[in-house]
Amino acid sequence: MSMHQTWKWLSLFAVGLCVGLAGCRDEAAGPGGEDTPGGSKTVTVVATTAMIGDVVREVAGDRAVVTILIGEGVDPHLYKMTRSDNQLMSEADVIFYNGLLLEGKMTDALVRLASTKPVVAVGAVLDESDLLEPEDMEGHYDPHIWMDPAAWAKITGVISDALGELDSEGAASYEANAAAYRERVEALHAYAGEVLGTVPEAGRVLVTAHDAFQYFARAYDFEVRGIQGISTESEAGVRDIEALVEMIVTRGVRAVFVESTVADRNVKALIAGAKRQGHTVEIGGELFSDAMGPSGTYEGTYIGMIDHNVTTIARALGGEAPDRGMQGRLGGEDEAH
Amino acid sequence: MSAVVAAIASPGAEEIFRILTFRAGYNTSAVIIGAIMLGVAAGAIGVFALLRGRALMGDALSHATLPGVAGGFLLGTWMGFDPRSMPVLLTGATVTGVLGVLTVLFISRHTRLREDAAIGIVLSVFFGAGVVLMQVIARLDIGNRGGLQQFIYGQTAAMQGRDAMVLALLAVLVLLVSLAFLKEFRVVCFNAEYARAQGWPVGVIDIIMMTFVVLVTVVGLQMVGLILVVAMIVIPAAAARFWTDRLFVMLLTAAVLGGFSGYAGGAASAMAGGLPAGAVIVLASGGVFLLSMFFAPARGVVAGVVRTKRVHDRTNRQHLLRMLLEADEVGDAEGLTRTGVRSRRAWPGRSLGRAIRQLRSGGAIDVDPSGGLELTTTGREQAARVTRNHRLWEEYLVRHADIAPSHVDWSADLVEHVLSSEMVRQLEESVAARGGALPPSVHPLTGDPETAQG
Amino acid sequence: MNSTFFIQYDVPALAAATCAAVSCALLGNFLLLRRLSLMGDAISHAVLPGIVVAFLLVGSRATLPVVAGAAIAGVVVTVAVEFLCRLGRVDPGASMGVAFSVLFALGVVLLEQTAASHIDLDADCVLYGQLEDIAWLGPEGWGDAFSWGHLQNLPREVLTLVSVGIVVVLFITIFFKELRITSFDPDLASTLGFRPGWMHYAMMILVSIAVVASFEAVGSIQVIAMLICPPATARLLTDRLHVQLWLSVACAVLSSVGGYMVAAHVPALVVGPGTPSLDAAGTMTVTSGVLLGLTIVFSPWHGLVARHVRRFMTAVRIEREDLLAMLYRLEEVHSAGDGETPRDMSKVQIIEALRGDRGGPGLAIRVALRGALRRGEIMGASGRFGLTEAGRRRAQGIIRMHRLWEHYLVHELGLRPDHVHRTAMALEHVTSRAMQDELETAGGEVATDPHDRPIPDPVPGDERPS
Repeated sequence: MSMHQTWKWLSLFAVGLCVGLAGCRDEAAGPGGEDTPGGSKTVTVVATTAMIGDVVREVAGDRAVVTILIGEGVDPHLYKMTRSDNQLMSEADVIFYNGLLLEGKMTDALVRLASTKPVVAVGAVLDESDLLEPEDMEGHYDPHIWMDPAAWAKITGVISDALGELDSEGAASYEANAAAYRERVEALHAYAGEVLGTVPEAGRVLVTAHDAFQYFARAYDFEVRGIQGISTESEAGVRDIEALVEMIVTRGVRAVFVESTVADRNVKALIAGAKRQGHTVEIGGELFSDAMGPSGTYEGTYIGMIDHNVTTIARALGGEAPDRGMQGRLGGEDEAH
Repeated sequence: MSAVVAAIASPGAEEIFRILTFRAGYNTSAVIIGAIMLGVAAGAIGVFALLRGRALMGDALSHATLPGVAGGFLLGTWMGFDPRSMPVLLTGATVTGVLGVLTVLFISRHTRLREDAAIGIVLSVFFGAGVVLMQVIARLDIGNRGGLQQFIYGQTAAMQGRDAMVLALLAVLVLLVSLAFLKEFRVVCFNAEYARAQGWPVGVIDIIMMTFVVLVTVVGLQMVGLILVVAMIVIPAAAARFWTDRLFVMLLTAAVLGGFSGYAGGAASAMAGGLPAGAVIVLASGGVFLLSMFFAPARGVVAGVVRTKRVHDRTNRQHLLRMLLEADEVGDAEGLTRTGVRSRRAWPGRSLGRAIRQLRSGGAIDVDPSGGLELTTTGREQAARVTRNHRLWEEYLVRHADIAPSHVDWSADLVEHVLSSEMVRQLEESVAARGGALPPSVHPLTGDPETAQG
Repeated sequence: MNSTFFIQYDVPALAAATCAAVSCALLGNFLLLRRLSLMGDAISHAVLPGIVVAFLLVGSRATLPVVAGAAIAGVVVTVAVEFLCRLGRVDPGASMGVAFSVLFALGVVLLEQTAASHIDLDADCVLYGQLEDIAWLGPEGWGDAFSWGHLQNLPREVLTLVSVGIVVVLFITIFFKELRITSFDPDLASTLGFRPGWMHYAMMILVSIAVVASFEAVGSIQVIAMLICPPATARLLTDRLHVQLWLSVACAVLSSVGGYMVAAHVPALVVGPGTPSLDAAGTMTVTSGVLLGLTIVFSPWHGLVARHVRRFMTAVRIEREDLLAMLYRLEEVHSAGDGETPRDMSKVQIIEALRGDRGGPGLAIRVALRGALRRGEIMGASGRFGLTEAGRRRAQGIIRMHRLWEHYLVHELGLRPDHVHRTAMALEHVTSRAMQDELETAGGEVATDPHDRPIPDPVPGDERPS
């Protein structure tokens, strides 16, 4: 290839580059972001996870447009932002995120945005006594706080304060909504305490696919055994599996649980191992850990998700709980399949 | 986890023995047997992948499953299946995996890019497409799609009896096919161009070979996870390469090394807590690889070093003999002493001392206390032989290979030491036949001096 | 607001992506030559132990220690690969496979053996960045963008990648000659006094640093792809290394910018406004793959289309020469006195005769016929075709070559006369000028071929294909 041809290529490419940049600008000049249904909203809110988004919606009522970045059923550790997420966030009035590094690398971008607008880490404003610190891991709090309704109820205050600062007219309404929602979450907590209390003392062992239920365990006095750690690279050892089988058999555990976001192979290996030793253990059901159920269903709300987990666990481990949960809405007709 | 393990306490000698003899627990035995079988299957098929320049095919393939998993999920949702059911995801994974392999075959066959580049292209582009699709899925309004790709990756420690059975069948199948097609695979592995010219159906043979790589990868992926499958295809085969040059032996060696890694790693994972089975098996095979690389007799590093040293020693001995003979011929008395020899040629390190010691113990020279070196009768014969080879070759190169005379001595020094006596005879004849003047000849000896020396 | 968004988000993302892509593509050219293209993938797995150890030492998931740990692990794996290739003479692909899987396994074991298993420590979560995370929040419009204050606040990722890019360009410029020799011919390099070992180790260390720095800013998949796709594309377009480097840079920039546009615009165009964007790193990868695919098909010299066209053109030329020779032989028989045989043939006869027992649609024959007519080598009258004077001269040269070959094959190589026709048929089309001269000397004075047919006189000014 001659030098002449090289230049031809390079100039072609330069033209392409200019067109490309121009194209980007055009798009940016067009209507960005999403449609805003209704005209009376005053605050635009972005929440990272569906659990936070659900609470924000409850607190804001109809005074805010709430957009959730990480949809239901997606692991927040591994979420990747795209350009349209940036557009949403740059147009938002306030951003709520979990913090405690739940959002992985996205945290850096959120922290950076905090210099231009209110960006609130709901997990970070909780009191240290509400947070769990894994052994030897000072300062690295377990981010799965929503598993403990009592602790989660406290974020309503943070949210209503942040919204009230932006929209002083609505401050009173936010306050009232937050208080009302807090009451419902506390009712949920009470229900959970009650039904899980019916599980026999010896059977209070929660065996799950991965290690996301520490807050749950603390709240309801359970022992939790995750087969693998939190990281996606985490992997179980043979002896760990044998040890769990041993424990299931000796303590007579009645059920183990699968999670909606983790494959169930590990759990099935436990069942097979226990069966060989003459102990029948069943799959107690599917729990929601890092993600909620489909939107538009009861399980697609925070309260429904916890209700589902609590009811499933209680019933599978020999406790007593109503078939369709606290409000009789579990597995309701609106559930999409 | 550590608390649970502590409750069980670390295993005693009896427990270790039970683990090693497959009598520990159901899960332990299933994992160890499954790991052995995977090691055998992947080790055997890995040999062909390695020799074909496609060691990382398993890696490319497992990355290429991502768009299939995502596509299967989307298609399954659209058609109203439960999109997370294994058959849907696995079908998707297999389809794009096979598509990836075919793309590798196409690129390496029809462009000037080589196998490794083709593998890299497929790995990155397919995986990139998968990343895009996963991102689309993450934004659709469908529940329960977290960790999709993790979903098809198995965990070694979670293997059950049924999995071990499937892997055992797979191992038998791979071994049978490898042996049945040994001749075809060999010719394609070692010289595909030649095979094509000879009329072998290289494309078909390649596809059979790759079918089994796909089979082992896809089955292994969902039973033991990504990294272990990739490692088991690459490492035992690469380790076996150090042990032999023969395909059949290499095949068996790789299967044995793979099986052993699975056994050792699986058992180790059963002996202490917090030892993830897949990773420990990879480490075990890494250990096997390092041992093979250094200590295998055929192509190992230590064997290579020893061989190089022997060749150097031999070369040095022959240099010394020739120098002594030439000094003797011209009556250079100083050239017959240790200091004289050292001043006439560069002898790095202790090579001169070694050469003298070896020649002396071989009875080729005598050393007097003042450092004088004298050829014995045997030594003189050996020296004559070496010198004759040297001059013959020198002559041949000058006359018939168009090498500048000033360069000849240098090349002659190198070649002389690899000449066989048969070759010398041929050279002698050809030089004589073409009218080349023979160098001053010493009567040729019947035996090779090197064999006489031991 | 909108040009603000462009400056705050699109400009830094494009800058980071382009710098990473260019650095990787430049280094990738040498990895491609050395069959180490999958280094990016190898490093992406091998960083795990580095991350875990960094975390254990520093006790934090902060970016800096994690990147430092990953970079060290990256250097370890590249050096290990180089070591296995050189010392163990292991195939480069297998070296990478062994090195990265063992290092990764080590990382997993470390993770489980330490308290690190209780926190989320995978590379996806703590190391790999996302292009779209990079924002330059200072400037509000083009007016501010070039003020020193805002330029100082350019995102860290962009600054890092620009520096890495500069180092890579300098390294390749300074050591271009050494890199070329050591990559193409390590043996020659060592006889010329270069130390290929040191050159390779230095380059591999640079690769690992560039790759880890890019991971941190733009994630793994784009890096893995940019190390291989642009260099492979460039390799299909040229044989000269420095041209290949330029082309790979062009391809890398095109993939980055094009991929970013696809990610930003295609969903809105296809599905409708308000549709979320695609993952830019993924679309950049796919774009580079599409560019490569187009090159495989359409590259002017090595492309599939070009090769098929060339093959077809050759086939047409051969058919045309065969056609002329056939008509020439026909004239010979005709003028030998056999009045029955005509001097010309119909189109159907020509196609049937030339196609022989090969079958097929005979497209090349039809094209050859048209070509011969256009060149005035044959002429048609009432559906039958015969030689013109020019065609006869051309045919004479071909027949001469054919019969000289037959003579040569029989008399010099000792083949049987009834076996040489087919061979001579093949050889007459590919005889170069030099070979022709040899043949002339070998059989110059002979008047007839082994079948006693006259060898025509040489045609003055006859051009043989070379």
